[in-house]
Amino acid sequence: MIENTDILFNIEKEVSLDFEQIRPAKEQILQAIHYHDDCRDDVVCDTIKQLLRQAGEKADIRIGYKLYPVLKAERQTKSIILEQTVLETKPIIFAQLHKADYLLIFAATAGAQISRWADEYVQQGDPFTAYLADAIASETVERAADWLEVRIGQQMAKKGLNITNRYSPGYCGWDVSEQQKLFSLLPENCCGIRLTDSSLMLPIKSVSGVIGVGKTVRKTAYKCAVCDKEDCYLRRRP
Amino acid sequence: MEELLKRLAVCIERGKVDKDARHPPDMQGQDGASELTRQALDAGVSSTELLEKSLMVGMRRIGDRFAAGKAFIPDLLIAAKAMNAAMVHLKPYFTSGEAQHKGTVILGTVTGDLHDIGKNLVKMVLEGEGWQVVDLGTNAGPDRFLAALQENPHALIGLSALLTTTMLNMETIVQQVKKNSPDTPVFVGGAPLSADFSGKIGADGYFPEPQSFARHIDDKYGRVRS
Repeated sequence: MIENTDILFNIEKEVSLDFEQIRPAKEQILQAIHYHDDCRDDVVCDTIKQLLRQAGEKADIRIGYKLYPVLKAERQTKSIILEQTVLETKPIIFAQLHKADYLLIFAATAGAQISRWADEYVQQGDPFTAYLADAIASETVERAADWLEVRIGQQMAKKGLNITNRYSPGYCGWDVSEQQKLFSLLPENCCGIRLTDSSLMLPIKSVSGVIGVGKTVRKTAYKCAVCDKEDCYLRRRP
Repeated sequence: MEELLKRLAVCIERGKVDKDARHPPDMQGQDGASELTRQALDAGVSSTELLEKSLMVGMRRIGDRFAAGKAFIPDLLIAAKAMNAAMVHLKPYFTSGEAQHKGTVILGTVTGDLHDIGKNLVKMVLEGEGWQVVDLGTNAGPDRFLAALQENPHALIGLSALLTTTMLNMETIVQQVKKNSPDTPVFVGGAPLSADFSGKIGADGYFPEPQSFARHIDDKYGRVRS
């Protein structure tokens, strides 16, 4: 653990981003929906381009985060202890975070309007456009989280610290109900996100998670590389 | 006539909605599913023959390609759009009783969950296969499934969930349905689920994608429970 933690205490912030700061590229949307990328003339690419032109008006992107010193990484239970909170991250994520000196707890949302965007098309009987609008909304909030990851990485690098990838409850064996603990560590009504009893975030196009910070942590090339969970549904992709 | 039905099947498979549609690019200016369906009906092809020998053939082809990882969700959705354009012309035949659905499936995303893309895909594939779907939308609890079952007593039920927290709510729905209607088959699907989980909660089966579900209920219940 780092002994003098003063330099990083009280890092807590909520920021709003303009859509143009994180605008997903058409290619990123295609990748997210696992669609081939040579569709210059087809209806999928045309529709994505049209929707991307509208997305900025629908998005209300907000990111909130707070940094906590890690009090203990409990190997036996694969848990990370922050203040009074025990995050039961489970083995796969624990392996990436146990050397962290701090955890950055974050939440981000693309906003309520863009979260309901797809429903407009469903109601019009157009599930095709609905699917693509939903994909753009999802990608928007992921790009917002990417933005945070890059920014925090740069800030920490100035202090001689590294960061890990971001990890979220619901993935790599970390129970989604742990979302409740994350939100208890964030300021009240962070980014206007509300958690349901089933740990669903509303607006639905929101993400939350942690980023490990420390001298000896590191980012991995891609997230699935840290995981040997063969039956993970995220691997069931074309 | 066979040629017309073959062309129509291709329109469905490739998502050629109508003559004005720009997709697919190599079929621009040609008649699409809407026009060809009208032409077939006007030429005396029965609604049943049209469904079974053309529309379902096209949907099955794209569904099989999707299941094999050779087509993607947007391809399936474009095909469904073409299917819907064809079904507009067939609607009067269903209303009059000349054309019949294979049966009814009640679909819904369970209590606490608002994710509906997977459920909507299943709906489209089932409708493309000739099933009538009663869509309960999202956040549907036991009461809504039971009410829909009361209106459609011979229906099958399909439950969807995307979260590990909400998939647990499936168990209550399965229990309630089985208690009120023991013979009603209840199937489950959704990213975090497994056949093991389906068995544990007393469901009648888990399917990882829509096509295998459609094939299963076609084989086991198609034209029996309508």
